[in-house]
Amino acid sequence: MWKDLFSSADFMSLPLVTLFLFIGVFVGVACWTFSKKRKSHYDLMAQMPLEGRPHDGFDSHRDTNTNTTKEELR
Amino acid sequence: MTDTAVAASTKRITYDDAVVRGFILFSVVWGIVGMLVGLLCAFQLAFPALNFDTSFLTFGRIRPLHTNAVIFALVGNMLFAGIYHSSQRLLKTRMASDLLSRVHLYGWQLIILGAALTLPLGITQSKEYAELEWWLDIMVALVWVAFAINYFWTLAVRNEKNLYVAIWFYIATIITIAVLYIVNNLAVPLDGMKSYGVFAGAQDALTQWWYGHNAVAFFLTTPILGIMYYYLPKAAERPVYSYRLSIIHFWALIFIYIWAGPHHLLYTALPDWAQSLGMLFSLMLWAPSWGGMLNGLLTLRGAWHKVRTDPVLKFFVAGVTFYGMATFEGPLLSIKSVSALGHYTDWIIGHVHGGALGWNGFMAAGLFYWLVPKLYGTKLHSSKLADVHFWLGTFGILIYIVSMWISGVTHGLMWRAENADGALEYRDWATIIDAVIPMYHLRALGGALYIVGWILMMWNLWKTVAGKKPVDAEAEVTVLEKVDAPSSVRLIFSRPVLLSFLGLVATLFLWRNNVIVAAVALAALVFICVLAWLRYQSAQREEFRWHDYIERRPLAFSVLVGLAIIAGGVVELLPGLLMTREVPMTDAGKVAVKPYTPLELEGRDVYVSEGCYVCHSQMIRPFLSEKKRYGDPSRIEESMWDHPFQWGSKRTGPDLARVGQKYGATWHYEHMLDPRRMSEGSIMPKYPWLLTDKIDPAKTKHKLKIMRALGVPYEKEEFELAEQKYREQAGVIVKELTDYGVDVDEDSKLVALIGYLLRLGKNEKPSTTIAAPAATNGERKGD
Repeated sequence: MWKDLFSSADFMSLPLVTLFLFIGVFVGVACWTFSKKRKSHYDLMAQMPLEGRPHDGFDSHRDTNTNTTKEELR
Repeated sequence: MTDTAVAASTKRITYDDAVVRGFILFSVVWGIVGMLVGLLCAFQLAFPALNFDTSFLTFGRIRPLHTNAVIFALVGNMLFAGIYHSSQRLLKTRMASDLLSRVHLYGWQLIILGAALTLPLGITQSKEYAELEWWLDIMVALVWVAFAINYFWTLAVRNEKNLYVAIWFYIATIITIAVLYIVNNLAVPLDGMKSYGVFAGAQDALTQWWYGHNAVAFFLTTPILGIMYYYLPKAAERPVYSYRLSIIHFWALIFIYIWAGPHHLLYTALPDWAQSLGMLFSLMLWAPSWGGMLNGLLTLRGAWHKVRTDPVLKFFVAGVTFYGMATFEGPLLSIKSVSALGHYTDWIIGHVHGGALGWNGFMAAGLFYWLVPKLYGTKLHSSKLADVHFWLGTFGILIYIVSMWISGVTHGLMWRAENADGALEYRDWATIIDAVIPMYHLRALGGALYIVGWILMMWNLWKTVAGKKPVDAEAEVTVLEKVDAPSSVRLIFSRPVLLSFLGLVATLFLWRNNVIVAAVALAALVFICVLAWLRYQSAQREEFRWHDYIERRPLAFSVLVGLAIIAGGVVELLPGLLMTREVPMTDAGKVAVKPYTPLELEGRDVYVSEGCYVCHSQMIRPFLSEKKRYGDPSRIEESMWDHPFQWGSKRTGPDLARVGQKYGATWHYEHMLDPRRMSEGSIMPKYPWLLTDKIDPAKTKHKLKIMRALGVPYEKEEFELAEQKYREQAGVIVKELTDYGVDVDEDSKLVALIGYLLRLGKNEKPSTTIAAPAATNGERKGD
């Protein structure tokens, strides 16, 4: 199938196909990412590298997991 | 551990920081070695006598040593240190296997040692950043597999549900480098020290730069971005500016980067569609790259005052800024008209070093200044000394890249300059080189300043840890237990992925030359979009959404990352690899491109071994100025038997694609032994050892056998005649040299190399060419 597709394809159109494909995926990911409902999740995720953060994920009601030692905080 | 889990109990863990200390030590030490070799290279270009007329110190051999050392030893060890340290903290677990961590640590150093020994000996595949021979490639693959197993095992036993965005970048690095390295290094061994790649000519070029570009992307960029997303917030003590932007940054970057490789091959004999693809995606890279840079810099909102006093933040901020500069310049250089001026010149060297010294080097320094004191439970010995390092490094980089910009643009303009009669203004290559020698001096000065800064860092870090005991950090973590959640397989074959795949297939069929098929594909695409919208709407009502699960499922996440990079690789590589290799014929019915004779084949291996590709291209671009200087533009079929291709990427010396039409054996003899005798002002090294080093023509038949297995049309009868043919052709060259008054052994490497150089550009024009747009698009003026 691939060989047939490529052998009959006009290769100049490939960049256009991929451009449209990318724009479609990009718009989809951007819409999903900037959905207002997800703000709290992202705020929490952004805290992950920092010690002493209040919790470790968007379903924070399930656990806390932040007990680092002095060595770790130093 | 799985994606969804609940707290069960707590336990105390000790992180494996010894492996982090090991990688840092090797990064710093190998780094100084790699950079000193680079400094020697810089001085050799300004003062050719510094090649010392010695094979293992000559520029063509040690320049690959420099690039490999800084990429795989300095940056490689640095990124592994960052990955091992940050991943354990982000995943709240010790690395799964101490043994595999040590296999990775010491195995990697063995590979680097192997590179340091083989490259100066001329044992090379001659593919940029992939020079290592087959047995070292196998070692790289094995060590990388050990790293991957350890990493994914650690992901599986982690005590943190979600994967922070830094981990995403690390996963993308591990998967993509494995794919790139294996595909680009597929080769058939000749013996313990030599192999021939399975790809040839344009296919090899496309594969090599698919690898070469993405080695920059996925070895020098994505893991360092992961390090930026973890350590910059740590150092600034505030969260990343926008986690949302980091997600966009990640997916856009890994999807686009993989397509951009052909921008290294603009105006070559590569088909135009591949060049356009590379340029288009390179331009699109501006968006995610600058999104990531701004995300890093804006993390410092409200904390900019800390940059004044904290050397770690100084290095991080400057590093991220250099990332922005390099990722602006890269797409700029991939615009065809800009590439026409800048390609093959020192501008590219300046661009690369802006990224390597500024982005990689400064991020490494920032990481080490932040990490080393913590790994020994102490404070940095001297912040002031770190500041001195920062300013020395900054000035060093600026001097380096500005001098290379000036040198590059000067060369680009001089190559194409014409006088009033339309003839080339600067036909003499030595005049062109002479114009930029002051820039070469400045470049060496910039590099030296940078190295002095690095040495200060070594001393500072040594004083920091001297007399201190290593500290392995501990943490009390909550052990999570598995609860019901969608499996990775279910997530991979879930509706969002299936709809995206169907959308891709439907889009591809839109371009079929059949109206009915295209109409059906369009209708299917609309239907798929409606389904996707409905799915999105229903997902908004769910407690956990698809990507929420994906973020917590390393396996599913890795498969999707793999799909994203393989999609780009397939569309970029497959058309070229599927092209049928037909042997073009001349109008007179003769084979236009004959395979190399045994002597030429051996001479070609000498050319490869000496790293001639480092300074000479074999690809004449379709510009009038290049036609006037070198001859007709290169055609795609001319390199069809070249395992590996030798198109090159830099012209410190002139293009050699048609050098065989220009000079005879005696000129090459004199030139190889003393270039300045034939070309006053040349900066090419002397090659006296080629006169004494020998080739065994009895073994040439084995090379022919491998070439035939790889598709080069040698007849079986030629194998046994190889030595005889070799000696016949060598004898002709030796006689010419004897008549000239010099005595040369016919088995010497010099005779073989002369045989190869005499062959270059002597193919006949075929009656029809195979996909050779460079030859058929008409000649363009190089502006």
